[in-house]
Amino acid sequence: MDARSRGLTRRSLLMGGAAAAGAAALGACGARLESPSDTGGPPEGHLNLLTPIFPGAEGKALFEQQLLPQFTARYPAVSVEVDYTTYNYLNQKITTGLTTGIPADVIMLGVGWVEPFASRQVLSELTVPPTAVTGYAERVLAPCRWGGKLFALPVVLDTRFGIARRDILAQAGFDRPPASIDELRDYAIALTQRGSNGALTRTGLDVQSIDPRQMFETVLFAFGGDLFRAGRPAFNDPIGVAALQWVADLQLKDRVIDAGFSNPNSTTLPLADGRAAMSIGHNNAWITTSKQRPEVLGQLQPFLLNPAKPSVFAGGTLVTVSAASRHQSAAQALAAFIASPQVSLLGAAQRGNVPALTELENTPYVRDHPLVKFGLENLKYGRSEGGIPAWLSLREELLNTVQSVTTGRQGAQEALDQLATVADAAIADFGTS
Amino acid sequence: MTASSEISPALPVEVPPVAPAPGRRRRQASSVRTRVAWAMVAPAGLHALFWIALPVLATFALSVTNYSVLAPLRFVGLDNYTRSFGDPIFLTSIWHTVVYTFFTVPVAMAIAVFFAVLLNQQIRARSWYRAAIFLPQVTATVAVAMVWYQIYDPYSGLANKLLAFLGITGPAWLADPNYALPSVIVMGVWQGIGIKMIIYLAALQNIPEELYEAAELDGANAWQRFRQITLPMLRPATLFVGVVSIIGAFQAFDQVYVLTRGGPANATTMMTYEIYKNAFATFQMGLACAKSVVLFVFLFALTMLNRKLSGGGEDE
Repeated sequence: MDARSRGLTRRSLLMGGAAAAGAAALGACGARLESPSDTGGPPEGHLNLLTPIFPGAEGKALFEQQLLPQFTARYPAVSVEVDYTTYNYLNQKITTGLTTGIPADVIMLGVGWVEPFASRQVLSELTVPPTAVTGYAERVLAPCRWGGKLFALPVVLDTRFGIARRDILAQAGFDRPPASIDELRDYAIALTQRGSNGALTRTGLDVQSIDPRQMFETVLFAFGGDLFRAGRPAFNDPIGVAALQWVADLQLKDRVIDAGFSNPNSTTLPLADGRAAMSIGHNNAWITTSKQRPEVLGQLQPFLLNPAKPSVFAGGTLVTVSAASRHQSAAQALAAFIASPQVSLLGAAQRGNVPALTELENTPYVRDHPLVKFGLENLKYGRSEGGIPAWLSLREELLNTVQSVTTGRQGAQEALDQLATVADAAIADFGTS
Repeated sequence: MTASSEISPALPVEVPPVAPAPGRRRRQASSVRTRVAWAMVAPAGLHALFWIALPVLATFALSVTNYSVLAPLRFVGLDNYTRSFGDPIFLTSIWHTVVYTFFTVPVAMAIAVFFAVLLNQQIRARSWYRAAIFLPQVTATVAVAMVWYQIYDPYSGLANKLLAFLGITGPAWLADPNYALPSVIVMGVWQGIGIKMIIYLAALQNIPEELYEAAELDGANAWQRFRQITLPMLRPATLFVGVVSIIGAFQAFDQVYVLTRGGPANATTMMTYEIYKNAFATFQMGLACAKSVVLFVFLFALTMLNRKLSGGGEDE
């Protein structure tokens, strides 16, 4: 018996003991996805849909009373049960579904999620005709693909870019938004105001009202940097370090904004109430402002952070089909329906999002919402997070890395190098597991 | 053969009931009682088996695998444990858990004793005060945390408004790494007072009144009576409250999840939050199970300590 077979025997024995101890564990682990029972034929069957969008009673009414009947009218042999959740709980829902071996047939998930799930055969390749994807900007479709195959279709998008208060800029003598990263910093410093006691009364650039990770990524892309290149960390290269240092300097050196001035969960938007002159913000700032201070809506002006290297952060919600679905043709049909223009438009309108299809840019919703329009028009410059299967293992750590640097606990280079080490380990882990 | 003997089988014959032997009767009754007992215990037993025992065993089994939900599992020996103790964030989370426990448990216990003694006196609206102090305990932690989230808002929150009234500029409680953990601790202290106070109240009411009367006759003042009678008589309750609270503090999760999500920059992450993060944010179930086992070992040790200190393991 050679060393290898001895090792295997030992391992088998140990595994046997562990298995005997935990039947449930084995049940859970053994719950690999079942093969679909139908791979063609007319769509039929009962489908489960898991969605983090269409929130609240309003969203449910929109989806189940307005949209879904259009689908079931076309496919009367298909019934759909909807499981509404939020992005905060989406992981748990998906994990539970996969563990028990009964994931939802159709799963709506975020940008950056396709790579891990598609690479592990959790998702089915979408069987849509080539013409079905012509309405999307190629940058928007990139996060939907893995290994050259299409596993998802975009439904609604969350874009992030610069937003300025035209009136506040004008008061300070600026007649246009900043035209470069350096100018952005100069503007931010000039527009920041503090009271006589040193308390911040107005930030020149609000970088706290969106998730810190996504804020950093928006800046990173504006600097021309990448998160990953050829499957390896690139965020700690000189461009990435400069981008994170720029963000940290705004807060620690230039004192453009103080810790806790705003946060992504805040019910008020500093840009709307005049406590911010500019922000790195989300397209739904339009909706928030229309509720909070409708009189300043006309003063909101979107801009690219760095026109020399144009980019907008493009996140969003994608629709996928579970490889375990027993009703593949019905699930594929439902996914195609959810990605259709009418669902995309109404779903976007409910959340203040950008519809994924460029053909919708002439609809009243897009025309009447300048930030949404700006996001849609600039999808050609869209940059997304993710890109590697191990992304889900890293995104929380990236958030902590950004916070660690912006609170002065670590330098940008040191923190990003540490994260790169973690990323390399996670990538290797994912490759071998 | 006689006629009577021919017809006898058709006649009703009264046969006196034969009583089972006393031993057999007892056995039958005992058997019925046993079956009933098993039937009554079965739901709880099945619940314990499927929802407690198997998951616990599964956690141990999975902790030596690389289970990630997305891929078939592989035996990895003690790798997850090595990784856990080599992970500076997990070590930080252990430290934060210890700090949280160190501050929440004794401080909340001291405040609880104070309120218990106060509310053991004959004062007006005593029941209302008791209910008010106990209320945070029966309110969902998530709801409590949301209220504290508003209190800690640096610009519109109550905490900084009060400080501003005193001419002090308050910090960004939850966004500043230096203040975030103390802020979570304050909420933990506040929320933990109620249950401790109730236990202390019950203990106070068991202290014989004669002890105080005798002390008064001997000329002891109120403070001396408290120190020499109340505190020593509360010792068993203190032991119980202390150990149970420590175990509870080690499992603190909701307040961190709602208030800070472990941030900023991991400044408030705790063991339970790291386990949650590994399991549901990064899908590293095997690693999360290993960390759960580490937490289990901590809690098991504390429980054993409780048994030893309270004499629970001794035969009476």
